Amino acid sequence: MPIVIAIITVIILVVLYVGTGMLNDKVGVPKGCEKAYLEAQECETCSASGSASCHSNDGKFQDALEFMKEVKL
Amino acid sequence: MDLLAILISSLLINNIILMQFLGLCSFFGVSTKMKSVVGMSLAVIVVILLSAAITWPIYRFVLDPLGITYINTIAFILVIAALVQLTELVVKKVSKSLYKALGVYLPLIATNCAVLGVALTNVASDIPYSEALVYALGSALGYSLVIIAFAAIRIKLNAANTPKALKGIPIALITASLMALAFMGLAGII
Repeated sequence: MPIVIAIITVIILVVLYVGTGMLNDKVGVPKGCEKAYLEAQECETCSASGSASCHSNDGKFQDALEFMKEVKL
Repeated sequence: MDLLAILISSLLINNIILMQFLGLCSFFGVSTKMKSVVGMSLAVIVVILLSAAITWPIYRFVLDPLGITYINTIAFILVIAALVQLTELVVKKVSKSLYKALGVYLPLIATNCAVLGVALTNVASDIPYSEALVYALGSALGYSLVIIAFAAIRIKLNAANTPKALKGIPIALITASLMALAFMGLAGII
């Protein structure tokens, strides 16, 4: 019985998460905040949602590879 | 006195970033611009406080009586993710300026392990609600203190003549380790 309650609880929470996600997606970023929103997503270590930072990290990764080639021991 | 001790302890001695190594992703990823760091810190304070205020009663009054405390990690992840989305939605609707300053960082916080870490520590420690909230406040302030100090150092380091091999993340890691050593020196103040 506790396992059924656990599964139901998780399902309720998943529905809550999906519901809030859908509501949040319906409400777009307010006008005038788009630039600030994109700037904020430029996290160097974060690979979430394929942000611009991922592409810039690719460049850094290539730089690191080039550097490793230069200093090959 | 207990509450003050918890606040100082979570703020300085058991700092969530430098002593517990939680929230390191945003610590290294966002700490390149002071404006971003301040916004991120405010968002983290709000989200950690809200999540601690919600997850403690959920554990105590739902999961514990039903005997399903073993799902606390997955339950808290879902609750925190839903809470962050809800907070973002409310901030978007209520105030454009607040969204610009704080709300834009909320998507990054949904996956921040510092928030989950505080919620899990609160229930694992079996402390009263008031102490859980003070611990959450201290942890969030500790996060802000460390990330702002770290950003200030990184901005100075960008202007410094560091060797090519150490530029960027390597020198940031060395800086963070030195900061952690400095914070270890505070261990005896309580």
